[in-house]
Amino acid sequence: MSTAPDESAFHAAFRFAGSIGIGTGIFGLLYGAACNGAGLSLVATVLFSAAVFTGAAQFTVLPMTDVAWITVFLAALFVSLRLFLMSISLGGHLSHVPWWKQVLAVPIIIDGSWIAALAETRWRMKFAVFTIAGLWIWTNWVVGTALGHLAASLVPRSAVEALAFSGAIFLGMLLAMVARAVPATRAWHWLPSLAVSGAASLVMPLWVAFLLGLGTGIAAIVAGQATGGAGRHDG
Amino acid sequence: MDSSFASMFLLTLVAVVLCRAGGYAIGLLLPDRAGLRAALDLVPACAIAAVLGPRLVAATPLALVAFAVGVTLFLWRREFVVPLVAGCGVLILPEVVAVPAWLLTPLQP
Repeated sequence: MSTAPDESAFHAAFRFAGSIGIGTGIFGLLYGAACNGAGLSLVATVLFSAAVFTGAAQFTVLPMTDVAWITVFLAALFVSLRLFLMSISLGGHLSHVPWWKQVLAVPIIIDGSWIAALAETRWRMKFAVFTIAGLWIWTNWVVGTALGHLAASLVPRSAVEALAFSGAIFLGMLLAMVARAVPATRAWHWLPSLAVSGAASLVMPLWVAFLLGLGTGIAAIVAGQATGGAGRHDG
Repeated sequence: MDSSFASMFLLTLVAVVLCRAGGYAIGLLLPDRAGLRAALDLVPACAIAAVLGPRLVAATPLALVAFAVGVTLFLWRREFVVPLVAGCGVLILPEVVAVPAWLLTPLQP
């Protein structure tokens, strides 16, 4: 995925993250319905979504109201590890803008805004594309959760439970999008992580399977670099 | 907002802020070497894949069909909405038509 030299930041942001935002809104509908089912008020649901802004962590901790605080904290930290890694990656892409802009940008680091910054090839446009994509996705997420909470009674509980897997479909599409945003030689670099974590989860706790999968992926990247497979791809 | 939810909210918020701000600070401090930066750009997808792998292994055949439909449509159309809606459509198929029981039984015992 490359950027046309004269394309505006708005156009580029929506090309990268326009449909991610709407997809996030659909995912937000499900989260809003789940919050309603868990007994959360509309205000609490919207506040939670607006401030935390990461569906994976929010879905994970939603049923954990009666669990020890350290368990909730570690679960949220663990599920948000990918945000940690995306933030490290973004530090290299956005370091050229004034520090206060970077501080304001940190809360909208999410899969879609990270991919938009990664895919944008013009350095001077990266921050604008990242910010527009992040705000667009944030707006869809918050509005989606509010609408989902309001419309929860229209959706059978069994359907909401069935749709919980839609998060996995979303992740699958994100990976396919990453494959288009990085050099072709490294497009499928995450496949070892997928295979190893999946196989390991059959015989090990999920968190061990996750770490094994992540470690395998990092090892594959390092091995690929050692053989000259990766290069600077963002101009 | 009851106290149990309020504490869950705050704990999650602190964890997520730590991940975002901590990661970003580390990203700023790392040396600007092209090879290192290119590698760091690839790592987050490994984390996404490591989350996804166990979910696919534990999924029902119907969920795997929904996944295949969603990702295939995404690769074809290069946008998120139609593939996600189509995948969700497959997931809620049992709500509207009778599907064989084996489609709703996870592959992993």
